[in-house]
Amino acid sequence: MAFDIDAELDQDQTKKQDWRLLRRLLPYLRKHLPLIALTLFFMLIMNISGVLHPYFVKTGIDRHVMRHDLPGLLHTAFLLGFILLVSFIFQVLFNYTVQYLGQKLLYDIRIDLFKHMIYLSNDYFDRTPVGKTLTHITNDVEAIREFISEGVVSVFGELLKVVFILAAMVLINWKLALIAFTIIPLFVVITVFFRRTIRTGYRGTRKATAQINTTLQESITGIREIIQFNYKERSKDLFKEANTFYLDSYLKVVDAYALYFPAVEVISNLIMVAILLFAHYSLGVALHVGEIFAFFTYIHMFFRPLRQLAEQFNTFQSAMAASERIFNLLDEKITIPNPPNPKPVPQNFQGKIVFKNVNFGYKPDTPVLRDVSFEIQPGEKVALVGYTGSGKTTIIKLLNRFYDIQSGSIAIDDVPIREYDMFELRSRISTVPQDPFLFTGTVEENITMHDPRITREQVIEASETVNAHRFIDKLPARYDENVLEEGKRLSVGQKQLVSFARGLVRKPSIFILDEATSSIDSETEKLIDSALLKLLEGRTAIIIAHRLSTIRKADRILVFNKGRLVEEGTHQELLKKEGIYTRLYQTQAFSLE
Amino acid sequence: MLLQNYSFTRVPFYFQRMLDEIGKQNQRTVILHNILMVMIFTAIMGVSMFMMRKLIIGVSRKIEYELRERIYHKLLSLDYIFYQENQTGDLMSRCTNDLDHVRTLLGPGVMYIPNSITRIALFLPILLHLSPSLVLWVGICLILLVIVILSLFPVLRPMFRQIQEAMGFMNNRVWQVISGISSIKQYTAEKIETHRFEDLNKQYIKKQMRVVRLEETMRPLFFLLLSISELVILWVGGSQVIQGKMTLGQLLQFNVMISLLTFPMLALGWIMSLIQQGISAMNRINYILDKPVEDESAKKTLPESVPVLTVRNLTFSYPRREDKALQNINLTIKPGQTIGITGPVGCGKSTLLNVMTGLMKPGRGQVFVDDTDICDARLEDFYKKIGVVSQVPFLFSRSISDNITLGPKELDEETIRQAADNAGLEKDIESFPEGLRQLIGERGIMLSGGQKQRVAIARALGKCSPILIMDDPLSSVDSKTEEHILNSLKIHRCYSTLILVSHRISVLKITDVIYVMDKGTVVEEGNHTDLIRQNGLYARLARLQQLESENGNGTETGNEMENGNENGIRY
Repeated sequence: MAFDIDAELDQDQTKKQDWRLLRRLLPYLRKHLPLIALTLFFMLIMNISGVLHPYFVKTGIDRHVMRHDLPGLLHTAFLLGFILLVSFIFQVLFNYTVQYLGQKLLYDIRIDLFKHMIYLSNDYFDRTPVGKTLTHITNDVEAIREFISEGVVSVFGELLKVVFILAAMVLINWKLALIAFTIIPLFVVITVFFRRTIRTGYRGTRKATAQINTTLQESITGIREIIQFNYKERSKDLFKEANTFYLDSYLKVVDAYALYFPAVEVISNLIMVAILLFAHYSLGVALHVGEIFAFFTYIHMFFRPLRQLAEQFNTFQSAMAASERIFNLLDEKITIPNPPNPKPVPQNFQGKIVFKNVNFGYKPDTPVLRDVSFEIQPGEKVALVGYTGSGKTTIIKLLNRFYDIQSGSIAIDDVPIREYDMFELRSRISTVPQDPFLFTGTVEENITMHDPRITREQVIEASETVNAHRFIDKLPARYDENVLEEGKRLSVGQKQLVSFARGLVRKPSIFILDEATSSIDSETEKLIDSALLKLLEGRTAIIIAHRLSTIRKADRILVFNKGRLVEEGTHQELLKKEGIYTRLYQTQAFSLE
Repeated sequence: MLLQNYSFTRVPFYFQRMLDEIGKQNQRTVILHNILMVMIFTAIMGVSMFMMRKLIIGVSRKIEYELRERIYHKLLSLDYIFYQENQTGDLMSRCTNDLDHVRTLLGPGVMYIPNSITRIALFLPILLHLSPSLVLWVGICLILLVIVILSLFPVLRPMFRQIQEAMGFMNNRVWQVISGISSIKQYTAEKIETHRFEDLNKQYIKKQMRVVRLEETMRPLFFLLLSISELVILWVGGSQVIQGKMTLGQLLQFNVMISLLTFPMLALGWIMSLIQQGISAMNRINYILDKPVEDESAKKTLPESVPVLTVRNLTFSYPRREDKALQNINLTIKPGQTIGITGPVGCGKSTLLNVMTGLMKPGRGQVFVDDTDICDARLEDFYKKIGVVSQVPFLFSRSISDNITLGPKELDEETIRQAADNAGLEKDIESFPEGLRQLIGERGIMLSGGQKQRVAIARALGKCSPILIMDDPLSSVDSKTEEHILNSLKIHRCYSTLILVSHRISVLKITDVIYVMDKGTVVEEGNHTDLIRQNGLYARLARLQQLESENGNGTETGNEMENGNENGIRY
């Protein structure tokens, strides 16, 4: 595996981007203006009392101790105690509000992101790995929160401190201050150099982390294959590779920090020596010992916030990278938009479906369906037949409006589906897919999909119809049994049955079965079939199947080949035509079960 | 570290001396000497600081590396059943977030503990020398501080765990929603899922804020107590100066030293919280590391030959389940045989395969590879002998050829291509721009259902093991492809024994022995003709299909089936 690190981005460009990203975070902040105002107020009081505190100590010493004023000392001590208490209270309040603000923002951004993501059109999910979207919604949002509730605030505070200290130094002795300031360029150079190393370092670590997570995730979900194919040793090697890369990238960062901190310390000592020498050679006795002493304290104080800022740089870096990824996701366009003034969908469709000269390709230049036209009458049961890749499943996806067609029209009950409310449209159509996805949760939750309108009785009724009740009833907690992620507690056939019940319980106007029973044995299927016949009475149904028995039950068969509708009719009619259907039949393209 | 802290105390000392010398307008040489000393100690300090950071943080990263390797190796050695019982998201967060917490404890945590302690140890004698009674007062403040910390931490610990769990829970939910997005869109559950996610987030924030309330009160409390010690110094020390027990200079020195101690004290507090998080994280990691694993090396190695698989009175229940998934199953599978297994949904076919392939452990004396109980056999040896195509194969986010050539050694390109051809993948591979090198995305997202299954078949064929097991592998493949695959299986027969699980009678027909399962037991066995003659469940199935293919009215046969059911066959 190769871990190539992205080419260095142009520094200026990144900086500009940082600002743009910060601006986009503003709306989230604006929403909580009162809270922010409160936070700032707390911070102000906290800082004022913080600044007053050393002042009181000084007055305590200068005015009272020096003058042997015991009652005065007592008085100042009480005042100091009061100030400390105020400082404490506001610190608590401030910390609490800041964290609360952080959590609120986290909540807003995360929900926004989730909402946007879940309404994105299918093409996004077709091309984006699950893990990628997942990290945006979890880790990336967390990185921003960390930055806001820990980073921004402390950066603000530290900068304030630097300004105060600089001012204090100039006020005490501007000549010495000038000498001390000569150090700033040196410090800036070191910090810039450090920043660059850290930036590349962290870019590497982010890549390494993603690599490790993917490897880990795949090893856990693919454990069965790893065991059965004796893949353990090579998996270990692959993991080790990722892990080593991770270690190396982090060690680079560690080295940079390890160099940086002592460097700052050394520089601050050097400047103190310089100040002393200057004092010795040019100022002589003119200088108060106390002033130098104060300078030493200030220089130390001066470097601490700067160092803190450098530490914060890390959070800033990852927060910027994270928000960039988040906004990229938020900018992701919904390619299949709901119409602005949707036509109301009747409570029950008649179920008349018309495809007229439909052309479609997932990529416009590689057509999957070519000029497909057909009509399905209300209540008709139609089977779609054809080799793998002939476009059957695509037709179903189009009917649900998961994709928009490039030309032609699709209408249900004589209204183009583009004009219906997309969600209502889908809720009137139930599609039972070949590879159902079950969620962590109970059997019942998987059937209702948490729809509160569906009762337990309806769930049981649907399960009985599809013959799932029999096995569900044997589970220890029956309908409350947790099937675990992807329903791994159930067999594939059982999952198909649950998915079948899921489709049925909604009592749809149009029912679509996409190889819904491929892993179900034929006897169970028979039982489902007979129950279904009653259920589908008066409903339009589209069935994709390989089984002849299923296909033959349809009123009409549509035969597809290479994206075109080539034949249609009943089983007997089609056999007489001696076309593709006959060929499919003869080469046993259908399973005979 | 000692060196660093020593330098830390020496540098101010020499500065002090220099200052004094300047004040006295003394000899240049003396000053130069002092400057030299400052330089030397600065250099020592710088180097030791660098070394310390590099060493300790570096070592913590290396320990993290080792620990991660250990966890991963452990994960790979755990039973399949472990994965059935644990959520992926939860395991992931143990391996990532929790490991991170442990690392933070080992790195910065370890770095600051001795650092703080040595500094306190170096300072304490000097402080005592200056004023024992002040030390007593300040000491009381600091001890109070420690008591506060120690009493709060046990409260925090379960909270941290809760947060970590809530986080894992949320990750899992998002992962599910994205993976199952097509179901969600199909059933327009977007709104409901958003509400559920909002609820989950609110709970998470509630938990977070509970910790925040405690932690954010604690930190200022730290400062408060430290500042109070300063107040005490001012008050008590000030009184002492006024009473003449102490000089002003001594008081100042005392104050400066206490303020130098502030950071180490705070660091200690921070470390306390790291320890908290670290310990609860380590416990969660230990959940994985402490799982018992059987010692594979002590097990029997298996000979190279094609084994006879024997199942004797096999009865099997899933952990924590009362009912029996398999009951009293007997079968013998000899080299060269082709075996079919069929039966209705949930009858235990896949469970039987899982047990027979060692994924789930049966009791002793029930499953044998030749004469070796599968519980005693070295599984690695056993897996050399079997190639499995599972019902829902897992594909890795690598290239097609990487996916075909799982296993201890990489296969050469020729073998991979051959396996792909035999699995009917030839044309698909041609259609990919990168051919065999085509990356197929997470879980093979770029492939269709049928293509995925065929990659899995190619994977098993490429392994060329004596026993080939296929669990309903052709469900997503149309019959033309199915025939191609079954044909090439016959032609390029590199396996000796073939076990096929299927619902399709056309597939079962080619087998030597068919085991018909129902409700966890084998109800019929024999070859196609035998079973037809037995006139039981299988015969009925076959007749049903015969009728269908010959004249055709599906509804009628369906009715006949229903009649059959009334006669006592229940499904």
